[in-house]
Amino acid sequence: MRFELTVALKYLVPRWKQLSVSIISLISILVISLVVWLVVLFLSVTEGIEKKWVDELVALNAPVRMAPTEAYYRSYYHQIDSLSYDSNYTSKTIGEKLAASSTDPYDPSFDMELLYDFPPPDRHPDGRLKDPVKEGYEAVRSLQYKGISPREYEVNFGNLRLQLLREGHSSEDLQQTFLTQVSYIASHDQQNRRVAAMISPLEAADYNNLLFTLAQINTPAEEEMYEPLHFPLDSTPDQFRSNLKSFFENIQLDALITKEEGFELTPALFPLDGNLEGVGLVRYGQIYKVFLPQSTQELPSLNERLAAYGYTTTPIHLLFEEEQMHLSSEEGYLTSQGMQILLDQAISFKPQLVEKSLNTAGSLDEIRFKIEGKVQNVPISGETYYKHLEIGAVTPKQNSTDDTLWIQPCTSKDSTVPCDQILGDGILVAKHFKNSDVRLGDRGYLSYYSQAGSSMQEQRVPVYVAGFYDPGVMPIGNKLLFVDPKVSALLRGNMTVADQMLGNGINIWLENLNDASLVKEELIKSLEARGIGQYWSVQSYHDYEFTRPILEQLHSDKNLFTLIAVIILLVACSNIISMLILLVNDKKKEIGILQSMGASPRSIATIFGLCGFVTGVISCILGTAAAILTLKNLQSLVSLLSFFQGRDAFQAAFYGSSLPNDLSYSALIFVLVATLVISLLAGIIPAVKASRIRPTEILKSE
Amino acid sequence: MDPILSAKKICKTFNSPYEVEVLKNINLDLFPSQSIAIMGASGEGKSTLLQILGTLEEPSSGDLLVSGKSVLKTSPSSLRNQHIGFVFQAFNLLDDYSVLQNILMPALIGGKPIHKHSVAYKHAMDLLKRVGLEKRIDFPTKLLSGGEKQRASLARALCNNPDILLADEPSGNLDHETSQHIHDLLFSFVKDFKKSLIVVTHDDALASLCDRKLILSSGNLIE
Repeated sequence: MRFELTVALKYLVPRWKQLSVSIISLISILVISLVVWLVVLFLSVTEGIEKKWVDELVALNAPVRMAPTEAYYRSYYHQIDSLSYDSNYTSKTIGEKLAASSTDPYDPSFDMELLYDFPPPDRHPDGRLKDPVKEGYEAVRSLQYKGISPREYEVNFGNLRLQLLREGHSSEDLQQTFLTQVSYIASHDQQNRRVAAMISPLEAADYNNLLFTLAQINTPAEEEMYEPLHFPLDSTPDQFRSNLKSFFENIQLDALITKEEGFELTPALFPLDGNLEGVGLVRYGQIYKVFLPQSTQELPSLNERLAAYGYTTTPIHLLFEEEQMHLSSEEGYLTSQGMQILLDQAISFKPQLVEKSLNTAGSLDEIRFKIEGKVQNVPISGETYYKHLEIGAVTPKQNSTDDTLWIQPCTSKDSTVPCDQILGDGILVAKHFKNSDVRLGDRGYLSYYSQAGSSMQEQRVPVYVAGFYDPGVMPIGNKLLFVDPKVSALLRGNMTVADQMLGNGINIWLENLNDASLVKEELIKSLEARGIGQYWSVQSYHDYEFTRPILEQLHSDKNLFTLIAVIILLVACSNIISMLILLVNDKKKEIGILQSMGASPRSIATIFGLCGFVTGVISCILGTAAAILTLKNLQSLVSLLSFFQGRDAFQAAFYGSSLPNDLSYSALIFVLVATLVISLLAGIIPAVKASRIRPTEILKSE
Repeated sequence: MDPILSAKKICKTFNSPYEVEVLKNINLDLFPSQSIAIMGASGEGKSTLLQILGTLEEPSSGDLLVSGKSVLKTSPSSLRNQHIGFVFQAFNLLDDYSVLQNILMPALIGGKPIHKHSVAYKHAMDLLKRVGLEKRIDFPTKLLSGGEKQRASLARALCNNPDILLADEPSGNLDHETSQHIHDLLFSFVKDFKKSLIVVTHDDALASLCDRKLILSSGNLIE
């Protein structure tokens, strides 16, 4: 093989003497590398997207799910609870059945007699009543799969009504809007790390809104303001302060920024010395307000903005000397009594909370901060009230306290939906709500109807938005919200059997999604063996009504592209055939000479086969390297694409905020094997041709 | 003593474009250290005979024994690699390789080690010295003169230490003086290393150096 390889490599080194062969071999290497690059890239990205979608689909709906069948709801086991004193004459959910002390709560000596058509009890051969729930859980736990854990799920229906209370242009002016949506209400499983991983990070606006809500419930406005949503409770000053403390304990405040109406530069904040340029507002010939922009370059735009509001403006120069301010107006205006110096909007300060101010604060304005920043390169620092300031940037703390009012993305520990005495129960809503301007801390109700005597009565549970999650591609995603299990228990109300079948069951979580199909098969067998098969329908995520079309579409897309990829690879590799045939013709004499020295036809064939194979190998290496590089810089490539198209190249709703950029090893192996096999096959025809060359004619004396 | 190369009833017929019987029932034995010259008019099939004897061409019928092994039963390429060295009129060196690489090629094909301390390498260096090309070892062969090329190809033919040398008009492309030199070298190898030689030539001077002189005429070998 050493001889064949030596000669093959010699042939592949480009030479002027064999220019056409060199050019064709360079082109084939280039084309094959390009195809390898494209295929690896595309398959890696699609596989990443598929994985992400499946992850998201399965985050809300476990990879395998056991739902009670109609037989379950019609069974003695389920129906007997509503006739038994032990069960308080109410039927039980799966979770309650699991926790129940006895399988059969019916006491013939005490409870009323069963009607003749009441379903008969389904018993094991030894006479015990079958317990589909407990035995079902046992069946799941008996399966040997990594991380397998059965958990009850509950999904109910309800109406969500949110009040969005927003600050107007002045702080006295409040604007309110309402948002109503019929929702699926799911109990949040605190041990479900997948949901925890899908929680969206909160933004500064969310924290500002929560603070605003806390302030609002502390200082209630007039009653009619809140119609038609009436909140029964307002917080006491102590509750307000403890809420504030918990709020600031759980965030690391990185920046405060000045609000739109301007932040007053009080004498306490005056710089020691320095020059500041600003725009003065003139009324009755006197300057009554001065606005200072972040930098002097912004002076013209600030002036324009203020003039557009109809103010008379004039350029102002402020000189600070030993904390004394001297104002000079180019146009010679005088200053009015009580003139305000205001910092323009969005100027950022580094804040430090004065913690003791929280002990006495009766409103947000009474919270104090030490702030530090620069305006027009003049350092400004000092203590100030939290007035005309808002939160600009926040880093959430990883180890939050238990009384946190929000849910942060966190996979390291169990996440619970918070509950506050005044705000109500927290709800986790889809991030699409943000498009409707819903923010952290917005309050509202979950309402549902229950039978009361002869009429239906609306029941309300006060809730507030405690976080957002990304529902991914799940069709009902933005209609699904998560609540604490005790809230979903309240909502259960009087659902029909059909609703209950949809709404209650057992989620089976797995560490490895690939096990799902096997788990399903084995679980069905195990349930049958226990004689409770008819009470459960088992589905894996491939069977879910809302995942199947997406998964099938993804698969057929992938198969289609793989087919196209193989065709492109075939075309690209066919270049190798023409290159090698040229090479064989070029090297006829050399082949004859090698044969005269004892090279066998097989050796000659191997040489040209190797030429094709080595071309394939080089192309694979180049293409793979290019693909890895591209994947590492995928975001820049996407930005470039978006720039040329003039719009987002990939819709965030489908593909997530960034395309997945992990190299798919299965794709890589597929492409490499396909390329090498095809290039080896492409070498066969020229190799056979070369081995059939008879040396005699070539070597005869001239 | 057994012949080192033995042709038995060899016939060769070319079928295209029309049937020509070039060789008729040729019997030839080459003994160790023997040299045979084959002469004849152009187109009589001298080169064809030589290539059949060198296992490059298959005879239409008959058998060829190399070192007692029949080409019908053994792989001709390995027989060629181990037992036969070719010298051509047109030198037939590999242009893309250096002189040394050319000379070591048969060893490489035979799967022998060719690193600096190997037997093959040392042998090649000895041969290069003997043919007077020790200063040309890294030269590309296309830069050599005609005489140098033939000396290099002589060294290459001897690389694997074959028993048989087959030369097809070895000096056909060279001037008289250079031819003389090549003949001297060729016969010095035959004598010193006890090689057997078959040479196809028109050159009477060369033929007269051989132990036997045969003439190919109308497909038959005549003494």
